[in-house]
Parts: sequence; structure tokens; C-alpha cells
Amino acid sequence: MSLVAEAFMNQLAAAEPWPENAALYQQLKEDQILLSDNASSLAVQAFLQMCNLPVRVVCRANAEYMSPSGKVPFIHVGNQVVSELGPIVQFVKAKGHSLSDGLDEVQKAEMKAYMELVNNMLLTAELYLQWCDDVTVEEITHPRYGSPYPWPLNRILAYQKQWEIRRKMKAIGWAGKSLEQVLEDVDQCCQALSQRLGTQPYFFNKQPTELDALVFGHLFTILTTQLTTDELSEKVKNYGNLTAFCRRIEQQYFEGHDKDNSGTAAPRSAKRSLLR
Amino acid sequence: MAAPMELFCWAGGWGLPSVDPDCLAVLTYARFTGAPLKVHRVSSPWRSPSGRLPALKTRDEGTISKTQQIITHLRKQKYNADFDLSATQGADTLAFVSLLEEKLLPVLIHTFWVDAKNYVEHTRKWYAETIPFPLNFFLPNCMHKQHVERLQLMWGDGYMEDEEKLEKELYRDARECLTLLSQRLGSQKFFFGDSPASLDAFVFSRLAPLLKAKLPNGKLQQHLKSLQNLCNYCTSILSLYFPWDGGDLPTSAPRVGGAEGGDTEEDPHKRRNQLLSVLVGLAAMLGYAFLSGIVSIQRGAVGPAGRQPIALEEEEEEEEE
Repeated sequence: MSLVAEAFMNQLAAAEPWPENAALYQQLKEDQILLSDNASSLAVQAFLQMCNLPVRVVCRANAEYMSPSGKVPFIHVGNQVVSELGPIVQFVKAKGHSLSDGLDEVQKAEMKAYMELVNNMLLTAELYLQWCDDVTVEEITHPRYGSPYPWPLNRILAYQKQWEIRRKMKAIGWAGKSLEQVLEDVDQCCQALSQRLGTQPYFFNKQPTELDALVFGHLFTILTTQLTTDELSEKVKNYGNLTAFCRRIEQQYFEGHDKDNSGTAAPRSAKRSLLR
Repeated sequence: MAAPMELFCWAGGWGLPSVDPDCLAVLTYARFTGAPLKVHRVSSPWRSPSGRLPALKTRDEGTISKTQQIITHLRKQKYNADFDLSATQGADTLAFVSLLEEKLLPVLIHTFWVDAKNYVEHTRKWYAETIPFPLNFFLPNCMHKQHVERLQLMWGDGYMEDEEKLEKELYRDARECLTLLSQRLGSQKFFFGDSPASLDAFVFSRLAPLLKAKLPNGKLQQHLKSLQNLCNYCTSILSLYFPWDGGDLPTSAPRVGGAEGGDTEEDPHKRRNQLLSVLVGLAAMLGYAFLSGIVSIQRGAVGPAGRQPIALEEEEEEEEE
């Protein structure tokens, strides 16, 4: 939409307060959702928790197709639908809630850069593992991805998605990488995050930001998801401050809301193996 | 003592030692670290040993083609620009490189290769003039298609349909990225103090083409030019590490540490090729003339040269007899 229309919509959005029935849509938690989507969804949930905005998690088999950009998760707030963490952060900011207002310019630059690092390396590595590693594809991804649908639709959808992801990997140059190289990249990424975190409770000051939400989403999912091998989670476990960071955020933002609907207990149920 | 490795990269233009961002990154990194590289500035990827540019030909490990791998190899050979960095700075490097690759580089590719006006009037023109015949007819188009496909895969299929909206969003992100870089650089000479690191090589290689090329449709370029510290940063690196005008193919005085004898190779070969093609053409014509009997050498008779068109009729008359 044009800039004027966008500004108008933003004004409208800002005018309304956050409703009580905001919903976050993702795929089916027990049977269908994959590692990368679960990580993204958890990141958004953590972010909204940190902003103290209530949201309930709704699981739908066709969440991917409902989303305006084709990616999960997406939130349905009032009469607007926004998908992916970046746009959601901006949308929430238009409503007057922001976690990164207290940062100075240099810190904001660093925050954006580290968020891109996570997207560039961790998310791509997760996608690679899910869709380009033959063992994982056979045993986990294909059965899960098409599980809500009858045969042969489940196989067709899975192959279609796999082809699309493999083309993307080729375009960005990851198709030629071996699993060891991908794990090496994950290790480098975790090392960088660990260095940046150091001994602080959060990445910037004492307050969490969207970077903390994103890192938590990915690392927690990696640590608690059981795959064919444990190599990925081992790489993360090597860094003690990262595991402590995940535990801290889980305790602070998710355990207190256990008595609420099952949506926010996502991390809890993820502890028992997500996939078997 | 490392044997001189050979680097094949795209030729220079627009005031830069090389027009391709990846090649420029490798060149700049090599200059920063003083790695002894023999640089071949070629005008088509077919002349590179691996078929792609940039390519580093090493003695032991064959040819390496990916930018990141080339830099890692140089690092292993003890040419490490990041030696003095602290662990946090190393982490920051990784993060900022990711930011560049995700937000700035795709938009850069779009500006140069997909934006209709820029592509036709500037990029394609330059490549068609530089790449030798006959590749210059289809290679730029081929590269254009590759880049379009890559962007389509990265940005999703909706990109082609709603070009305006995505252009605004993506260009906005790229402008934000430039502003963030400017804020991070501040008034320092390089990103991490007084000596350059690999992050500087990457940033410079992405910014310099954008700054120097004369694009007809230069929205992103204007934004970059408004960020004074980034412009000064680029020009200072250019003048410090690439002091001669990198734009010309047959350049003079190579820098210390980079024996670039490969530059002047281009011209003599071109001359020689032209001469050869003319000679081959002449030889073919004469050979045909002799073989088909149009022209024949008779002992004691007048030389037949120059009578070819008329000689044809005489030949026919002779045969009829």
C-alpha cells in the first residue's frame, strides 16, 4: 500500500488499545509444527509477554496459508493481521509499547545487527537441518508437515515445500554446505551471542528487548526439541550463559502464567519431547 | 613464506579497482593485510579457473570461489586483519556482516541489476562493453536472470507482483541499514579503532559501488551521499589502499605487496587476437581461392593475384572447353 495509506493505517492502529482477544496463530503444536516455525512462534510469544500484552495461541493446520506473508506466526489484533517478528514489533510500537526505547543509537544498531545474525545463521541452519538433511527429512519433517492432511496431499505438500526451501538454500549459497559446516556456523553464531551476552542478565542493560525474545525463541526450541541427533542442541549447551539465559526468561515470563490457557504453556510442553 | 596466490576478479570501473562487491571485498581484505596476491583483472568469468569470480588459485588447495572461504583461507595463511579484535568485537563483526548481507546486499543487487532504468542504461552497458565478443551478447542477460531469480527466492514470490510496495519497504530497510552503519561508525576512522578489520572490507565493498557508480535512478545513492561520515570513510580507504585510479584496465604502478603484473596482459592479447583473426581470415580466403581453382599459380605465367572475380569467368570458360 502507498505510504499515505500505510500512515493512515498506522494511525488507526495506534488509536485502538490492545484488545483482550488478540490471537496468535501457529501450526498444530503436537503433531505438525516444525523446529523453525516453533522457534519463530515462541519468539513472538516471548516478545508479547515481555511487553505485557495478553495473547492466546490458536493452533490451526493451515496457519501457513492464512498468514499474509506465508510465514508463521501471525497475530490477529482487532481487525488487523500482522505476521513475522519484525512487522509485529513495529505494529506493537505503533500502539505505544516498545522495549527498545531506552537504547541509544549505537545500541539500536547493534541490536538490529544481532537480530539479523540470528535470522541469517540460526534460522537458516534450522531450515537446512529440517529440509536438506536427508535423515531428518525422512524421519521427522515429512511425516510431521503433512500430518493433518490425507494421502496423497500430505506427500505432495511436503515435497513442494522441500523443493521451495532447497531452491532458496541454493540461491543463498547454503546448498553446497555439509552438515558439519552448518553445525560449525551454528557454533560460531552461539559463540558470538555468548560473547555479547557475557554475564549480563539480558543483552542490553537490565531490560529485555526484542533481541532477547528472538534469541530465547530459537535457543529454547533447539534445546528442547528432540531430533535424530543431539548435535545441534549440544552446540548450544556448550555455552553455559546461553542456557542460563533461556532458563531465566522461561522462569520469568512463562512459568508465572501456567494457570492460563494452554497456549502460553508452550515452552513447558515442549520440554517433553516435541516430536515423539 | 606463502607462494604468491593468484586472484581472479572482475575488472575495475567507475573509479574502483573492481566493480563486483564480492571481488572488491576480497581485494580490500588482501590490501588491508598485505597478502601477496597476483591479481588478474579479467573481463569475463570464463577466464577464471573455476568459471566464477572471484576465484583464488592456491598452490595446495586448488581453486576457491566463495568470498567467505577465500577470506578464511587468507586468514589461515596468517594474513589476519582481525587479529587485534577482542571477542566482543569479533561477535559484532559477525552480526554486522549478517546485517549487510540480509538488508543491504539484496537491495544493492536490485538497484544495479533489476531496476529497469539502472540496468539498461548503466550496468548492462558497462558489462557489454567490457566483456569480450561474443560473450557480451548473452552473458549480461544471463547474470540479470540469475540475480532476479535469487531475489525472488529471497524475498518471496509476492515481490514481483507488488513491486512498488516491496520496493518501498525494502529500500526503507536498506536506508535504515545505512543509517545504522553510519551511527555505528561515528567519527572513528575504521569500525574498530585505527586499524582496518574484515568488517571494514565488507562494508567498503558494499558501499563503494553504490557511491561511485553514476546511476540514473539513484534513490539509495542519494541517501548514502547524505551520510557524510560513510562517504569520507569510503574515499579515505580508496585513497589509502588503492591510490592509483582503479578504473582503468591497463594501469600503471602496482601497490606494494600486490604484484599485479596481470593488468597489462589484457592489451597485447587484444591486439594479437585482432591480428590473428585478420590473418586467419585472409588465409581462409586465399586457401579457398587456390583450392577451388579460381586462382592458380602457373609456372612462368603472370601472377594471378587480384584477378579473382574475373578469373571466375575464365575458369568456367576453361571447363566448358
